Amino acid sequence: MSNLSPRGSDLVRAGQRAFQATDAGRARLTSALRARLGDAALPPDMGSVASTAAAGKAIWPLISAVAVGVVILGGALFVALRPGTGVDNPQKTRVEAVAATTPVPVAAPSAGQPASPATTAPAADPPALPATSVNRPQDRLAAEVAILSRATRDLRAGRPAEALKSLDEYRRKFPKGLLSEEHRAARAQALCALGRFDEANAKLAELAPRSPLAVQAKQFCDAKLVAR
Amino acid sequence: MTGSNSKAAAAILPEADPDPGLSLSPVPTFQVIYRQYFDFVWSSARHLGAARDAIDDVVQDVFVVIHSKVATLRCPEALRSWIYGIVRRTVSDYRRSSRTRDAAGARLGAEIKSTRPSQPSPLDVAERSAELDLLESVLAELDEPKREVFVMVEVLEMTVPEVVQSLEIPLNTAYSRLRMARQSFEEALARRQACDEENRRPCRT
Repeated sequence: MSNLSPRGSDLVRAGQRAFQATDAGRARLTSALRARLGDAALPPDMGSVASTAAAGKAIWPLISAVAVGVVILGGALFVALRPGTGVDNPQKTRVEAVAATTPVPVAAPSAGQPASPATTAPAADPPALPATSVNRPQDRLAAEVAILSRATRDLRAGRPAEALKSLDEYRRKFPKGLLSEEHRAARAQALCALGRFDEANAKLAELAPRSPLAVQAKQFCDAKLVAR
Repeated sequence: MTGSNSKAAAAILPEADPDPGLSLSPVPTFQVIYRQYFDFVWSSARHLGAARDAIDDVVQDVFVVIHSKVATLRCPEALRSWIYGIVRRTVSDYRRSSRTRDAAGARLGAEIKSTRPSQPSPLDVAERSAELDLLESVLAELDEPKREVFVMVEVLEMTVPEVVQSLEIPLNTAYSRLRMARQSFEEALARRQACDEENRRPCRT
């Protein structure tokens, strides 16, 4: 709701409140769905589904009990999943704000951020764009996608160190990128794959708590923790 | 967005993953999805037009579809977009079938109305508020494509990449619709506020 006036934001919040699920509705539907899908789908001991945030609080500590050290991650996730933390909105706001305005020139490398050399893109990558051309929004997006695609492929191929180099490159070139959320999720997973869980926790905490990216990144990291 | 950029964007959009076996993350269980996305499904259905008296059926149907298809979900990273797509289709189907039923039962309905004027239920009254009325009237001034993007981003708090995945539109189109929708929303709101303050003429709808 970043770009709306205070009055507009108030109205949007009214819309959110008006159409929230009710506790009675949750209980009613959980029971009805259990009858349709069976206990295996929705075990009776899970009770009525609580609100999303409450469910997150219940799930992640449970996962954290699986392996040593996971408590650290669970704590970060617990904080990230609390309602009203406002973690997601600033991120969304930032990403949208970039696209909603004029093209953003490529920023110079930040002094505080590591500047790693870019890895060689596989042949399937979109061609690297010259720095001057990324002033156009569509070229900028393509450049962002190219780097993140390379990082994703490295992650899937079990090369997290290489993925991290690409992600460093992304952060250096696009500190306010349109795909910053995807960048953060991929970075968290690369760090987990490298066993750098403390750093991964910090990245996970930056993700919008209920986004699919955050959920999946957490699951990826939990799997890595369990496999340690 | 140019064609090449669409392809480029698709390269990292999970739904476009050419190899389902290469997904980074495991597919969550139905139970996990149910817990985490119940609120989202409910709110999405309501904002997409599912009436209060239909919400139970719609939400149930959505989760039945999710249950039947979750094993085939190729890209768990795009889960919320995938779920929104299911909600959207389910609400659309439900509204279509409701119209059919309404047409078939029009005569009976007319008879009922003639003898028992319909009144909003206490729940309906409780749900309504002046703010909600105003929101809906302002949103009604937006054309459908812009209104949908606006609601997805501002009300349902989806990210623009999720909108892109759900609606299968180019990223730049999504941003463009959002920008114009916000502008139209604010303009419509300002007109209504001016109208209310003047209190001289009925506000345009």
